[in-house]
Amino acid sequence: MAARGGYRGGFNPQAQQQQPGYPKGQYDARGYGQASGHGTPVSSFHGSPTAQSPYGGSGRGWNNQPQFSPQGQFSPPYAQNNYGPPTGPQGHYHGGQAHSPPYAPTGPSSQYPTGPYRGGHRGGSFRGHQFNGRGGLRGGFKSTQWNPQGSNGRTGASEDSDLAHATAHQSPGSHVETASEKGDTAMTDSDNPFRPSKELQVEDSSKDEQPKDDKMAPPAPRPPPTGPQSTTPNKFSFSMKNAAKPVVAAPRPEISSKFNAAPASREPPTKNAAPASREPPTKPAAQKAPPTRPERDRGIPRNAPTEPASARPRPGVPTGPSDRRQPEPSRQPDAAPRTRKVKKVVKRLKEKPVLPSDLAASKSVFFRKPGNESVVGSGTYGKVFKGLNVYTKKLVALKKIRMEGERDGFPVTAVREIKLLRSLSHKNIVQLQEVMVEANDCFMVFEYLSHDLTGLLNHPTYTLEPGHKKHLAQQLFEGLDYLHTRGVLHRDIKAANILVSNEGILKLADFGLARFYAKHHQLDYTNRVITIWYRSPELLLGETQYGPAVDIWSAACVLVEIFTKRAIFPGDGSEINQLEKIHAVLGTPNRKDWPNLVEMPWFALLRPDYRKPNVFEEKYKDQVTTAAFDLLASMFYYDPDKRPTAAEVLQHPYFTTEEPPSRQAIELKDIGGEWHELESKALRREKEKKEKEKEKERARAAQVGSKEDGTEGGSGSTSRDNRERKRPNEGGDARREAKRPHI
Amino acid sequence: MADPFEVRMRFTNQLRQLNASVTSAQKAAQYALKYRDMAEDLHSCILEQLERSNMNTRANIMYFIEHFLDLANKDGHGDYVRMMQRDIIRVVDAVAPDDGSGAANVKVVRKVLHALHNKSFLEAQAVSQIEEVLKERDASAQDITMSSPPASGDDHARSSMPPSRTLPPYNATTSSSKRGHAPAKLDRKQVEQRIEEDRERHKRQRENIWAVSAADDAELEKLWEETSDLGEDDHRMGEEEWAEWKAEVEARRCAHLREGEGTGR
Repeated sequence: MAARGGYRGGFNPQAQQQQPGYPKGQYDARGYGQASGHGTPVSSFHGSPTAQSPYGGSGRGWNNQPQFSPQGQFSPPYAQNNYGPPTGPQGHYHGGQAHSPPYAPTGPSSQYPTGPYRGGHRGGSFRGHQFNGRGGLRGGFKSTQWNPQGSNGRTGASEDSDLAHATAHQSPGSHVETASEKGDTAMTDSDNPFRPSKELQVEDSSKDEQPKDDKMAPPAPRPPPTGPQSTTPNKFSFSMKNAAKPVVAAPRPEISSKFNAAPASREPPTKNAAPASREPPTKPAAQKAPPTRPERDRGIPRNAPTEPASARPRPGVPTGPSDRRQPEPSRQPDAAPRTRKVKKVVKRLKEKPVLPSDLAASKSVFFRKPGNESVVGSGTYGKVFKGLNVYTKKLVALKKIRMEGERDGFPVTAVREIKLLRSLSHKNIVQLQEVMVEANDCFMVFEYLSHDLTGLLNHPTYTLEPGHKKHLAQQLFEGLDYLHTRGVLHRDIKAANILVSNEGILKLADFGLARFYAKHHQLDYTNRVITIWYRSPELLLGETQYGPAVDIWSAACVLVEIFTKRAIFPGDGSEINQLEKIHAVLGTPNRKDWPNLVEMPWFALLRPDYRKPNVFEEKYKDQVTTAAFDLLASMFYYDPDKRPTAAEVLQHPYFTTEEPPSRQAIELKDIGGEWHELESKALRREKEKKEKEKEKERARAAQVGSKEDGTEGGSGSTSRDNRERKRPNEGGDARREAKRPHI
Repeated sequence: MADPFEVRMRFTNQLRQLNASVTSAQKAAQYALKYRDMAEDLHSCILEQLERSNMNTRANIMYFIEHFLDLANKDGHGDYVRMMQRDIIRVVDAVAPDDGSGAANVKVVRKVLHALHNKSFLEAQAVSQIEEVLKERDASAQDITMSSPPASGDDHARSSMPPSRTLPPYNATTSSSKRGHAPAKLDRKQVEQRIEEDRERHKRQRENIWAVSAADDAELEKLWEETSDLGEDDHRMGEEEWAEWKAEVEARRCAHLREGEGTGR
């Protein structure tokens, strides 16, 4: 009989705790053993939550209890009842038996599984009442489980429960039997108490809501105990519960003996438990929660007995349900109005989310698909994963800080990046949400954006409209202006580091090379920064005393890509070739345009042997609007001092007067998928593969036609072109080293 | 007593293998100090390598000299210092030859000379004289190509000077072709090597920038120098801090008010 108490008790505490506290943790924790279990289930969260959860749980539990107050009330009645065991219990039992069978089948199984929360709460409340009736047992159970935490919190309920506990604790096994008699008596009393409890019950019972709740509850696994009771009880339950509780105590022996067959049939564990009498196993089995079993077993012998008992009755439904049902109806009519409040509580419970199994199985707070599926970017810094916060369901980008090969511990570059990002808050700067250590890895957690500029511009079908381009450009320079105003050089502006949300919001990312710079005096920095295609001529010529103009050059390169979809200076990765690419478009620099040219450290080393004219106008004038061309030309000045600042760029006629006005690219919502550099790289590889195959076929055909020479030349050139179009790999070591020297 | 020939060979090798790292320079310097009884021999070794090796190595040896004299002076071997003072012109000529081929080294020479002067290995007069000569060479090198705007007939100029045109190697430069041609170029690999070495040196150099001299108010002076006038940024920062402070006060006041109410204030 104790089994019932155990069940309910177990359930209730769990439900209460869980609901108030952390959803995930609660589930697992409850199942496993609340006290010990907290730590285990959701480890990361638990850490802090666990401590809280107990309190919160207890607090809520208290709340519930007050609401449930019937329990408290019941329990005292029980004690009182205990005196008059014979009548009460019997009556309950009888009623229970008759009623229970019908209710039991429907209610318990279905209800329990679905809505543990709601079911639990309501059920809990009901059960609580019932338990209260059983009072001692439940209290004991709860207390045992919760005792450490809850003892403080449950002042009101605790008293009763404590008493019960004390008794129960002392002779758990014996209690059940001995208590059963008392319980029976208590049951009778409990009926009386019902009225006081009725208020509570009534609230709960607000018939309509309760049934709904019960329905809701069904999904939850736990519900089995509650479900049957609660469902049937809802109306009846109070009386039933009360009865049941007392019944549980006193009835246990009787019920157990009488119904053992039924419970046994339904729940094998109970049978096993039967010898043990406490039957912790039965409950767990019935509930589905293997975790619960251990808890129960570990936590409280008392619980065990009660729970199994409850479990048995439920399956059998004979005693508990019937009793409950009978009393409930009578009660319900009394206090219907008050119930509504209780209902609200129930709703809260309902709100608790159930984690999908895949998320629940996630070891991390941020669920990641297994293997490389979740990788959305990779570079010398490490890898970036796409993660789903299992609690908030929000997407995040997890940048894993690479620790391999770090001889000096946590990389100082990462520290610098974190420090920098923490000082930044702007709509066009990617937001660092937190830094997380997990399984010996350190992650920077960013908001997730679906696209980056490289991926977007390489999208096979989608094309940005002029207004969109302007809007993206505007955001780019607003972000840059913010950075430069705050004294930050980004030093790695490139299309792949510019993220775009699916609403067309642009954000600058990857601050791995960024640093604060002295605005009012010139300091010396390393010149090995910025992916080489986007590196300004002064950096290529070895300048170490540079400023925000290097970011403007990079941004101008990005702007050209936004307009034309092609990088303007796609070099082969060496400084020499990169300068040649720039000279090929902008002509060779001269002292008139750039007085400091000859002061560049490597000017003598890298000076070209011949002059070249500036062909920028021929090449790009037709591809962009007049104002845009003017803007680009001003940003591509060789002399960094002549380039406009980001703020000046934003005042350029291209943004202020020229049509069309900028327009947010909300259409990005519709293109579907996610377009990052990674995807576009894969796409390109695919294309190259196909082209190669075509080449082969052509070559074969050509061979047949004995035109070998011609085809060979052709294939050579195409493959070369392909190579040229490839983004420069930021040569791992080189770039990595570069991060260190300048602090 | 080691075989003089062997010592010479080994030292030559070390000079050839100098790179941007401090250790390589220290190793060679210590070797030379160890066999200081052959100082004259080893000094001629340095001059020889300066005149024979490529421009990158010459630059490396130039940096090495600074290091070397430093150590020699510390150990009290005046011989090396004296010999270097005597031959400094020759060294400069070798590292930054006036045929323009050493244009990339002019900056190196200046830097090292300046350092040597600071360490009082060289007299100010000698340094300024050398500086004059270097300026001339620098200016002549800058006359060429890049430093002046392209001629009006760019296309014409281009066709007359095809991109594929290369200049004769520096050691083959004849006096007749000296002016009006870009200085002989290092080959691509050497350029890249030089870039990397310069970066390495720059890195080492920056390792000490945080150090503040022990003088009394040195740190204060430094901070004072680095502090800018009151400006926009300071106002922005002040406003942000003010907003933060207000928010904090707001957050705290609530608790206090509650307390106050509780006590019936």
